[in-house]
Amino acid sequence: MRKRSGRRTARNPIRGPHSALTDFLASNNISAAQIRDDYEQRLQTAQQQAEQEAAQQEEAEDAVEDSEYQPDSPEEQTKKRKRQQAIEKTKKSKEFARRKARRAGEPDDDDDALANEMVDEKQRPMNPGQLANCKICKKRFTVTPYSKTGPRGGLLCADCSKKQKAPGKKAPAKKRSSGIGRRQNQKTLLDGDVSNGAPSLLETCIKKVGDNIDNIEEFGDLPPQLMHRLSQILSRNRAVNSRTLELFLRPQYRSIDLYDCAKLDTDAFHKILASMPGLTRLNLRFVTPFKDAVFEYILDRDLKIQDLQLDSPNLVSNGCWRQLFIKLGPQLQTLKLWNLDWAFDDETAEIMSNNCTGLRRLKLKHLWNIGDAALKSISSLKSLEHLSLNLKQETTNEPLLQMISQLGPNLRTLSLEEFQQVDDQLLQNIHDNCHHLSKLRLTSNATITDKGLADLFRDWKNPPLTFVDFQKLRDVDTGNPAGPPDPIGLASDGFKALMEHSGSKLETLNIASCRHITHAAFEEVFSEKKRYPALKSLDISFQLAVDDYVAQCIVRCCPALTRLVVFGCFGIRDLHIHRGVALIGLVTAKVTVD
Amino acid sequence: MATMRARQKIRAPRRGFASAQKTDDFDSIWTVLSSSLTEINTKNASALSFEELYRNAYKIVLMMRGEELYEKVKTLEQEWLQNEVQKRITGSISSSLIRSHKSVDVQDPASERRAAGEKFLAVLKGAWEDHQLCMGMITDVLMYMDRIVSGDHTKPSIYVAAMALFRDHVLRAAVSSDTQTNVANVLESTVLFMIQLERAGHMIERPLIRHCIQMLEGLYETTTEEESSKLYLTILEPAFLETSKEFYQAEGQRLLEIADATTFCRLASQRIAEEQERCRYTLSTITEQKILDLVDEELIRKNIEEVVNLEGTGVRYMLDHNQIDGLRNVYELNARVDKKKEALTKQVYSRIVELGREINASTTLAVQAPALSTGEKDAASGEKKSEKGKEKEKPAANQQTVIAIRWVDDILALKRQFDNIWGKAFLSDQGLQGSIMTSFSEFINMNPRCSEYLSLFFDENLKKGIKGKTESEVDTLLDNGITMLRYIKDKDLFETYYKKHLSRRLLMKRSASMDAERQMISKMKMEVGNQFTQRIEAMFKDMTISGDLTNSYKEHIARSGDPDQKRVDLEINVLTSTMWPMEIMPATKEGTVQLPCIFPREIDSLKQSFEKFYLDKHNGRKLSWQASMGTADVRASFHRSNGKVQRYELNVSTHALIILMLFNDVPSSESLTYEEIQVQTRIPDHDLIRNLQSLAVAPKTRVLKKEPMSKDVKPTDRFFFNNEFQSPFVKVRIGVVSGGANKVESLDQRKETEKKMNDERGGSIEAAIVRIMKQRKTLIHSQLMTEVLSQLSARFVPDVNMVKRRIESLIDREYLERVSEEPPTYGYVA
Amino acid sequence: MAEQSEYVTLVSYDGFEYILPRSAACISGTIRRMLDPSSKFSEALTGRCVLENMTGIVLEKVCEYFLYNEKHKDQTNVPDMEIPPELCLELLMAADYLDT
Repeated sequence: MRKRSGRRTARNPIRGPHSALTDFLASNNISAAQIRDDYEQRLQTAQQQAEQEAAQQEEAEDAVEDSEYQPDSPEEQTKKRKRQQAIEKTKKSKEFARRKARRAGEPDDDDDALANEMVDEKQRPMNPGQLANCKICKKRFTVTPYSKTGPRGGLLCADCSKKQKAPGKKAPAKKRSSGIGRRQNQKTLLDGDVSNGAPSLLETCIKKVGDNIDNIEEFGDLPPQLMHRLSQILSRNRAVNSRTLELFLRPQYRSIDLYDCAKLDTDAFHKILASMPGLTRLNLRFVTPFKDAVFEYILDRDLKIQDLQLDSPNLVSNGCWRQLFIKLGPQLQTLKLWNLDWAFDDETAEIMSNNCTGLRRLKLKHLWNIGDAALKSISSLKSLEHLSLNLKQETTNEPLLQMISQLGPNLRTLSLEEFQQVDDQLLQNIHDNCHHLSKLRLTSNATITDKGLADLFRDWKNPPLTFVDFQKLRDVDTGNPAGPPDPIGLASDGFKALMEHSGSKLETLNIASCRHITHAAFEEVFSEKKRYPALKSLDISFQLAVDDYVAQCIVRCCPALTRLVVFGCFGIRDLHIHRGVALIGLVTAKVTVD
Repeated sequence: MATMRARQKIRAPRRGFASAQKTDDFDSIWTVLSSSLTEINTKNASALSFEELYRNAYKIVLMMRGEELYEKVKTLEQEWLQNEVQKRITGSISSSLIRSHKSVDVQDPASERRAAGEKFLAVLKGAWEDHQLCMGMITDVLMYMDRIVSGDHTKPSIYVAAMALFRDHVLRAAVSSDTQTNVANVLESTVLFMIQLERAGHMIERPLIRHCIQMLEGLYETTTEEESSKLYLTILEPAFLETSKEFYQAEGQRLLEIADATTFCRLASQRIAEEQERCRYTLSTITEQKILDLVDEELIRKNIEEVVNLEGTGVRYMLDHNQIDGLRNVYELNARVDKKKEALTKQVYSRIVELGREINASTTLAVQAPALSTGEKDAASGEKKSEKGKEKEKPAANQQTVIAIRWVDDILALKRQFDNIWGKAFLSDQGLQGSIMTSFSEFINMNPRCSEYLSLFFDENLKKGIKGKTESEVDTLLDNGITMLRYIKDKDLFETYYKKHLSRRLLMKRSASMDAERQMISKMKMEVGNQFTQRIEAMFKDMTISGDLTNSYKEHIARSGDPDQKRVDLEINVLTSTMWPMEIMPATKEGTVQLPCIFPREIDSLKQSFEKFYLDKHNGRKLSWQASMGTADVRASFHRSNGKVQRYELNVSTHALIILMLFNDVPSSESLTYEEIQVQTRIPDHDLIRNLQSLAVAPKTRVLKKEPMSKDVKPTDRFFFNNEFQSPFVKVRIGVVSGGANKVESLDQRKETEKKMNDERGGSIEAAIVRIMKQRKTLIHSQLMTEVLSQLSARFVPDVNMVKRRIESLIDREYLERVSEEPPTYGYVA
Repeated sequence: MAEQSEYVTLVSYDGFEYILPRSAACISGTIRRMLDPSSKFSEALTGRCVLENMTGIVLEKVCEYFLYNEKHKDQTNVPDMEIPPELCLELLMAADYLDT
């Protein structure tokens, strides 16, 4: 908390990514910060009042104090008062009760002594990195966030912590198996980690490094793939800051991947660019503090960036984007941008399309200011092989159709999310033009029909797909839960055609919420003789037709399955899965691992 | 910050501490590495430390120069392959291999070329194995490099790359500088040459070839190593299939020229087995299906029809000579290329129909010209011949029966033969069974009298044939007959005949075993259904009831204490008129009311006594007496001219009894004319003539004398009682001419039967139509037709026109109505 | 070649030797290949691997991991192995090197 507020009060008014609620409040002229500050202020005044009252009381009592008492200077008196108050408070706390219980039976069974100790501890500014004396062996050691408190208060050094833990080990271990253990299990499940046995030494060490990142001065000769992995783990721990950043800067490396740049400032970005002049790949996520100046630096230095991936660089202006594309465009091979709601408009997209002629991968997700016009200009990027789009503006069908006709023959990946207007005509275009796809994503649409999807897969010259995501292709009408008689979205026929076409090579399939697929269709697709040898990840969330039988058939038909997501599949009550399958989303059912 | 890191900082791994003493730059490390790799190539690795090599590669990769290392290793390997391996291999290729690269001449230089080929293959195999082993080791050592450099899949792993090098710099290397031919070409032609040798019957070094094939299977055209880009599939297999195709085209021709179906099939099966084995032990199993398909296509499919139809040795010959093994071979080959085995099926079918026609033909021939053909007839009819004597009618009819039975026997023999072939040679194939069945059905139904003949067959067997046979023999016999019944389409016609013949057997007590009769009925019930045997069973019931009736009547007489000494014993059969065949009741014949014949007094009183007894028991029934069906035992005294009296017991028909009784009142010298007899007895002309014939004309039973003495009976003829009647036996059975026994019908009778049949069928059809319409209420014409046909098909095949007529008739009678015209639809009128 | 011994020896750069079961050592992909009898390297012949870029301290920890891994083979909810923070980077390098 202290850290966060510290950041907030810094001169730099830039804030990290914030929640949807904050966005909403801001749009209604309410500031979350304001509310909190007000609250804290109220709290403080209330406390001050209480303190004052207490002080008055104390003064009254002081009058009848015994002679031994040496009145302190007023300043000291206030201190003392405060301390006494703190002790009283401490005595009421849970921690106090716990410690007391622990110490029961010991000779100096004195509440005040204990409370005194605890207050001591609290008041001592024990920041990690400071030095302290171990309470048991009296050695000096560096305090870390993980330093343990001794049985009589005070901190313990690493060795003594270990020893201390040993006798009381059994009890917490038991506890862990119930509540925390389950949460832990769910966490590893969501990570898809269900392999048995010990984790690899590599992973264990990376975790350890992540945990101790504050104590690391230098990574040494770590190879790039380890650096990448460390970057991921630090980002996940939200531990990338200008200090840890330095660990990643290597002049001889040509790529940098940081998945959380929220705590970096312009200087840090400049440092990256300055210390890695050979950079060809710049992959920065949560890059809110990224400003025009950084791009200008890139442009000045004439960096040879070919692969640019930025998530939410919302402070970059349109003008800067345009300049960037004009200068860097021809050398860019990959461009991935996420979450741009301020700049990057249709005109910028046009300039991008005109300049980035060698672009092979393009991903634009959650871009708020581009629409039909941008789609039209993207259609001219003839060299595109991988295209992923998720625009916020409502678009019409025509530009997309044109785009598929022009780019389709070359595409290997096509991902179109949340295009509400798309209809069967687009599928027809894909059918006619795309013959090299291996990855196809079409999601959140209630216009395309089952027949359209079935026709897409029937007699399609495209080889079998390896990745298919059709989630939320369904009719949305709460008044008619069964859906129209001619099914909308991915339903039985489309599903059968899809599996017929791609079943042999399919590795990932997401059909979450495609709620018109019937039980019979599942039975047919996952019947006795069918096998989907490559299918590793399957998401069938909210498929109400799936019951124990179908789920069992799925497990039988997909020997390579490692991840099965079944949120909201209430028909599953009792399921046998084989080892190595991460089954995600089941709450009440009985799951047996064979 | 400074204080924070004070003492507890975590050590970064020290840079290259292990090799601090050594030079640490790329070139020096590479020098060490490259010399070691060369050592590995020369199979000299035991002195090398894996760890050292691995660590060196690791160091280079950490220097971010992994890709350079990758390229250098590739270059090193390439040079090694070009300079060492390839030379060794081209050196092993003798000129004979290159020279005959294209030629397919197997003959003379074979042994020389063969030796050279084996040497070449052995060297190639050795080089390949070395390369694999060394690259395995090098890949292991360079594992770290592989993980980083080809980790993102932009480059193949070093192993894959090295395999591609072997492909390009060894296999695709020119054999010598002045030729386009490369090692792979030589390999291909050598392997094909070896296979050619093996096909010609020589032994070859299979494992050696197999090893080289495995090499081609382990190499790919592309670095992504798709299954389809295996060198084996791109280089060798097409060539192998191509030459195989040529070979089998020629082989097919060669075998056909031998013109022996059995040999063809044997050799073809052998070739198939050979190719299978070749794929397993010499080439690759992935080719198995392809080469087998090719053999099927080139050797079998293209020739099988010709083989099957080969004159003199084909399927027809095999069938005729019961060559089970040969047929099985044909069957198996044909099954390979054709699920329906059309060629074989067609031939079997036509042969069966042909044989069936022969049977049919010999039957008709015998029927048409009995006299002529008797000489050539088999033993069975030969016996009859002696009995035939001078009169022709009776033996002719008898002989026809014999022919009928022989027809059935012949067919059953044929069936047995084909069942045997089907089971043993055609492995009980479903399709062929169907075909055999239809072929039998076809020729059996070609004989318009099949139903009658079959019924006669049963009749004959149930009368005589089963005597002295065990139960199981009878069972098989009946089963065989039932099998034939299965083929007959007009089962109702059979039923008619069977009933007719059965009634005679029952009434005249000619049945050999009632058990057998009942068995027969239950078999028919199983085969054709309940409805079919209903009436036949009723006939049996009547017979049982009649037996009881006779007994109780006797008791009744005994009780009533009739003192009449000259009592006539009565054994009566009361038959339910609807259950028994119509034609045995002449009273109803042709609708004219025939007055009952006049019984003699004694008989008449007996008749009245029984009628009273019966009607007392069953009120409201009507008895009509069928004299033509009855028999009587008469004791007759013949007063010889010498004064002696000779007594004979005559077993005669009831009619004959009536006639004879007339002569009791006639002095021995006087006579009665035909007309007198007719008036006094009122026996129908037809019966009277027949009875008089048997009494006065038949040589052995001439109880009466006729004047003039001729065969025919004319109204003006006079009849005398023949006191001179002689017979070697005391009991003499006098049958009624052409009436007593079951025989083949005459043409008239046949027409009669057919007419009745049609009437009955009409009834069945109408019943079926009404049944269907009652259920469906309205129905389209075509649907009604199909339903009617399917309902009736178990009994007979209805004539479509007849069904149409019946529908019309039902409409006329307002059972049905036309509901609509387009499409024609009928409605049921309730 | 002599019958494969069940135990192998791992030697650190500074001369510490650790003897442990072959199966445990082969948890490392690198060591497994090193000892693979089909490759004819000296390590495979002698059953002794000198790891020139590891100190005794690191190698000891690595060996501890091998045994820990083998002990928990096919178990679920394996407790984490204790790693002293000051060693974690060196150990990370070693793990990468050994493909563990």
